[in-house]
Amino acid sequence: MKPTNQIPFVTSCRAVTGLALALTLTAAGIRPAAAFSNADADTLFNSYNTAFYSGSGNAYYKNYKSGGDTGFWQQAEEIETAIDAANRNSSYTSQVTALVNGFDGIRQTSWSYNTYNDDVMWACIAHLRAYSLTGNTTFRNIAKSNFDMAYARSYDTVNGGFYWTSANNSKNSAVNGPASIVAYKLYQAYGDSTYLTKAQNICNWQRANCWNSTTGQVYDSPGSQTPTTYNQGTFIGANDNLGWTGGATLACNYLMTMGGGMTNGYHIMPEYGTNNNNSGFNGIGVRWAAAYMKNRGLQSSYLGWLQANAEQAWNIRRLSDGLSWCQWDETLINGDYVGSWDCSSSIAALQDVPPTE
Amino acid sequence: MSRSLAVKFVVGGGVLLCALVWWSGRQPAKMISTMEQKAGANPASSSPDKIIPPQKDLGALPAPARPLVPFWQDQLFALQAVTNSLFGASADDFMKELQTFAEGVDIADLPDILKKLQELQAQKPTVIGRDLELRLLRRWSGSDARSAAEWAAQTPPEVHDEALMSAAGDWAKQDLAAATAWAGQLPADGDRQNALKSVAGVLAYSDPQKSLALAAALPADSGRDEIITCAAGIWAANAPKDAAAWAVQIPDDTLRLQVVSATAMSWGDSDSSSAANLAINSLPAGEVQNKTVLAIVQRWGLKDAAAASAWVAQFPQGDLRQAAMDAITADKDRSRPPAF
Repeated sequence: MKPTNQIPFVTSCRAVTGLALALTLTAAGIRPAAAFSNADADTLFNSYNTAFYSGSGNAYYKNYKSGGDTGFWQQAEEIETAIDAANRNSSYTSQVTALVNGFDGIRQTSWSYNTYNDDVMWACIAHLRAYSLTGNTTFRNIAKSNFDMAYARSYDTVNGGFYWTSANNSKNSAVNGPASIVAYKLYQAYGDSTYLTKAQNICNWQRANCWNSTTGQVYDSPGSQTPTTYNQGTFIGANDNLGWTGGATLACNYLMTMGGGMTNGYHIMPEYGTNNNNSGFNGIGVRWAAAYMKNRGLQSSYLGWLQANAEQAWNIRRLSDGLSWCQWDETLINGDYVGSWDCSSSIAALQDVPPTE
Repeated sequence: MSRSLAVKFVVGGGVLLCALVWWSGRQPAKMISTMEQKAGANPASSSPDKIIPPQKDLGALPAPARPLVPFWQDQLFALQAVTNSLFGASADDFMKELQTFAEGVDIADLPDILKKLQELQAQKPTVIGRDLELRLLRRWSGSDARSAAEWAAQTPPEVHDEALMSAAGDWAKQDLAAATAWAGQLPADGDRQNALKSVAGVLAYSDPQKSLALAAALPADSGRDEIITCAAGIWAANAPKDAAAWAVQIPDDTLRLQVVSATAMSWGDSDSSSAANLAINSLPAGEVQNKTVLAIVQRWGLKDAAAASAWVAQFPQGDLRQAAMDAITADKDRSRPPAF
């Protein structure tokens, strides 16, 4: 192709459209997309900690600034965001230790009381990632005993797959994606290949029953094809662990298409609403997609999209307290009442996605 | 081409080929750090995504002589000498590399590798050397559990307890009777108890009653009590009445509460009403009873929210009643995610 100094038609159109959009957004009081740096990732996480972190006694993230508890699996995922931060900036490592100890102090170390096996798996992932970060073998051992407990009570040894709850009457992606990740991490931590086999079997069940191998869409369950960003994310993580890159790539490509809002030609992840179970889904999707990209050197495919989402999360923050929320198509303004779970996806995005500057 | 020249050509080529084969075997284990190997022992055979290229058939070549310096030695030295912490942001990559090495060496070489590693550790111990020792032991346990266990029993204090328990547990998964007999004859009290505890831990999942018998004979400590609680919970999933009858007779107060609680929660999966009766009648009012009741309510609420609510409505006003009502409501809210 002959080199040219002319701006291609598509690019010039996009530039004009972008300028018009920027002017419109500015007129509407919405700031245009801005680059973000490592320092910005620290700033956002520090604001989050100021608003929600309680470090006295058993450390935990409050539900709201005023207090409260986010719940079992949400707390585990908020610990994961702190681990994301510590992997980027090791000065947060001691906070991770405090949070995991706090989790165990509040929720104890045997989680059989919780009927939801996916909750157990989220907590196992948080503990195993904390073990990798800190080397604290207690975290690793707690994860192992709880995975073993859940496996004994709810893995279907005849037809494969984990049941969602200890009632053992339905299976879905919510538990099987994370469970495969836990099994793989246990294999990695202990060198016990029986866990590798479990990771493969669980993932195989999910691929066969909750995944469209043509489109990459991860189904909520065999009976419901609804895709969600968190199920896409854990599916990507599970397949990446096992070296099943075909599955991970398809699922990641599908995740790239989710969400109605667009920035720079990239989809911004869906809005799941505040103050509900699903508010933190996007953080999980970003986490595993970003890890897959970094592990496999796929920046050319995914970095622009992930950065567009992280930039959006940064750009919509509220200046008064530095918080950003899960509604990535809308700026958080004074008067919007948000909790820590609502804000966790933005934290994950800024910690996990490489900065633009 | 003269005949002698042809012979020289063939012989020379053969020598060159042998040298190449020998050289390629000496390449450090880093060679197997491609992404397909990250899955472990035999990822290629289990990959549903990848078509694995056929391996070159080297069967016609003469076997290369065993080198004086073993293939694994350079890399073992290099890995053990790393003084960085194994943990931190790159821990997963590092663990992967150690596991790849442990799974890449010849099983026949494992005793020599472990011996050499132990010598290196004695001179200048590293965290990575210790971790690698346990990974190699685990690999050995998979092929020769008895030898691995006997080696573990002779390890120095830095790694001794973890090595012993790991080897005993791995052996128990393969041959329960042999592992139990071996563990029971270990001369040192601490070793014997640790090994038996490990065997009991494995048994908890396959034969909880045997596990309970074995664990109950061990001195009380938190590890033993955890095994008993776990085994009782698993027993209760299959035979709740028997498990409950056994649990309520445990003489130690603390352990009894723990085990009755686990039994009731497990029973709650199949029969919430009976589980509730056990929790109310066999546990004193307090934290353990509250936790147990909430666990039963959560299970009951998922199956029959109205019945669960009716039971909770009989509770006296207070925190437990509110928490139980919240548990039922929260689970109702945990509906299927919206479509986009």
